Amino acid sequence: MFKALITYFLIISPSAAATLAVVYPEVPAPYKQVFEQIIEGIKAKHVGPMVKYPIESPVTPENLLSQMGEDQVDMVVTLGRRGLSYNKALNGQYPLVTGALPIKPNGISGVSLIADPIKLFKQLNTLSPKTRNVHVVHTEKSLWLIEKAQQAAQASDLNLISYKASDIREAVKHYQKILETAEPEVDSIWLPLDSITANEKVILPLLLRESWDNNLIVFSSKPGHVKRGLLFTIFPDSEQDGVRLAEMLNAMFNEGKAPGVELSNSEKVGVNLRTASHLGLEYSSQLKSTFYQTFPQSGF
Amino acid sequence: MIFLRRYENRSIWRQLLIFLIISICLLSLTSSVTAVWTSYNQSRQALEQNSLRIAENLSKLSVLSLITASQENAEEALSQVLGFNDVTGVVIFNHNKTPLLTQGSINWDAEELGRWFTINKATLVKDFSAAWIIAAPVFLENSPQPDAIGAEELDIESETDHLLGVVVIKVSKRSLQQLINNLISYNLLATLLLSIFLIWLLYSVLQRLTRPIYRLSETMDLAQSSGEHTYATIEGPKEVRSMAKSYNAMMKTLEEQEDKLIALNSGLESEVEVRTRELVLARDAALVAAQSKSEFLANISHELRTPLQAVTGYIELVIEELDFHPEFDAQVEDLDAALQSSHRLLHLINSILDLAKCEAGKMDLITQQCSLNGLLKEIESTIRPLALKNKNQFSVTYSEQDYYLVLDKEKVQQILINLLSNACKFTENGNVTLACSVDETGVTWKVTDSGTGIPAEQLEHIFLKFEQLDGSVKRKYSGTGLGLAISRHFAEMMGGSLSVSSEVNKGSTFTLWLDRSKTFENVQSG
Repeated sequence: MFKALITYFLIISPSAAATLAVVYPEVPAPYKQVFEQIIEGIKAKHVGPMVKYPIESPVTPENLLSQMGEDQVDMVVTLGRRGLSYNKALNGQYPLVTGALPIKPNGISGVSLIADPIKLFKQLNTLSPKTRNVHVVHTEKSLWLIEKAQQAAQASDLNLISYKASDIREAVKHYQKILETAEPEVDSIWLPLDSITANEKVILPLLLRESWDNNLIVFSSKPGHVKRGLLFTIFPDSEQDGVRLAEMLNAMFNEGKAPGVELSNSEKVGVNLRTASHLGLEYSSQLKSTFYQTFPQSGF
Repeated sequence: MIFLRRYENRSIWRQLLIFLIISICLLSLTSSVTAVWTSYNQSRQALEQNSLRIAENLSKLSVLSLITASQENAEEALSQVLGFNDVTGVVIFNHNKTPLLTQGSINWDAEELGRWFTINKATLVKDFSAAWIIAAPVFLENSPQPDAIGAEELDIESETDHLLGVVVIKVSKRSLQQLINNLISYNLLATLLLSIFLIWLLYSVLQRLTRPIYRLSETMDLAQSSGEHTYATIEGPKEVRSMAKSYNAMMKTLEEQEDKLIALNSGLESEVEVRTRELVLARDAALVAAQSKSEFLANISHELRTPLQAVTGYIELVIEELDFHPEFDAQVEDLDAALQSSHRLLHLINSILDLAKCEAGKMDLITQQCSLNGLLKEIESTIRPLALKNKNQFSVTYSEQDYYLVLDKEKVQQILINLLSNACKFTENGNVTLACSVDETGVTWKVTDSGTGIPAEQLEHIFLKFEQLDGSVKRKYSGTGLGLAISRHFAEMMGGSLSVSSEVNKGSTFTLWLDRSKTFENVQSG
């Protein structure tokens, strides 16, 4: 028995004794809970010691590295934009994964806040079964996601029609064209996490107004949009992201191979029931019970 | 102050009314101006803030139109802004500073436009008298939602806002001007109405307050003009009631004092009447007594002189008969002594008679014309033997120019002989002089001696009846003590005076002065 345990710790789970460091920004509520849930997820998966480095005021990378050396850190998770700023210094020093950001494949590993299109399209099929076409306007920056989305659409028996825009003027033109031709129930518009094609000051108001007038289904990758009137979105599952980050880091620690970026597998769907009602979509109580959040929150 | 001084003689009611009316008008005017000014500033600020918000809203509404370069979208945005009456012009500039849409009249130049593209929020860029020009930048915002701190930590992108263009609005101040006009009109009207009401109120209140003062004043005037003790009615404010009470108390005191004075006065009048009667009686009795005394003296002197003259005559007859018989020389000497005593007694009686006549007013002046120097010669011849008796040097200073005087020669001679005989009597081995001078006031005779002199404290006593210096003098020099008293009487009867100056052991000077108007009115130079 004793021999078996030693074998487990030395061979099967070498990371069990490794010290995991979490570098995250110290922010007030409600965003503080996001990081706390991620850390909880990491803690739940990682059995070894964990050192937290909350960054409230700026700390130089050298000081952070020095502190990590003193704490005998073996692997690092960086969270948020402030955490990401230390990636350059930490990369190569420790096995490193990043979370709590909409990261894209760019030489770093971690879990992105961007919802996996598979999850989105799955929810679209559930919430609007008649919809067949998904229109998406994107920039060059989001092209990698669109490629994934094409595959997801095919898997979900949907037709993804993408439009590439170089700037917001072009994006508006694309949207105006989509709005002119889109048919209610059949066509839908997907707003990716793109600051140009999903601009909250211009594009979002335009789509909200037009989709409401034309009974078009619009869904978004950004959780906040559903509150403003889009049909649905997928909220990140922070704790699950934490678990995945710990798993990815352990894998890196053990195998020494960077796993790359993984999209959020969260299934926490948020639905705007008022918009759904306006679109003539009715959901059973059973289905509603699976929704993570519904809007308007005061009841409908 | 000059204005107030002009009215200071007016009634207190009028002065108060004028002062309060001026104060109310000034206060109302000041408050109106302040209210208008404050309202104007607040309205101006509110309109300015409102205009800035309109410009900001327009900038937000213009984002889509600038992105799409669509005039239709711009018109839609403008339609919401032009709904405000004060907005009279709008221009939306795109990023290359060309106007996408223009409505209304707004003028600009390239320099101004360049400045407008540098502002980062809605700003008042031009302030005309009739309108404001407000410019606001149009940004395409890419910032994360600023709803909570920490949101940016979940976003990897941090793109800055992108300037799409500038919106410019022209806001008319017409409504502000209208507001000011209304404010001024309503304020002035309200001030006027309030002032009229307050003036009416003040008029009534002041009249009510000052009426008791007027009544009190009228009561006082009545008391002054009639001399009666009129009482005031106690009414009006506390101070006026207090004044009326004090006035009434004063009137009461005056009335009591006047009653007392009247009572005292009537008592005094009775007393004075009684005393006057008593004095009249006493005076009459004294006059009667004095006259009786004088008459008695005159009568008794006359009665005494008559037998005395007979005695003197008989003694002289006896002496004449015995002078022829030497064996009766001793008897003759005795008879001489008796004769001298008789003469002295006769002289005394004559003097008493003269004095009594003077005091009784029965001495008459018998005026006659005489020469001044002739008078002096007669006196010199009379006195010179007497002067030799005490070995005195007697000299007479005559007037350089002789005058004929009209006077009682006998009495003047009697005065001068009396003075000279006294001088000779009280001077031994000395000098006795008689000098005369005439001036514009009258004629003056001076009798000077170098005798024993008279002490200063006795100078006036020597003119009293039966007065001499002291007993030793009387014993040494004999005399009646009536000469100087009679002489002064005579001098005063003739409208003149008799005075003396003297120094002990150096001599005396008696001065007889007769008034020219009484003595010299008929003077003729000789």
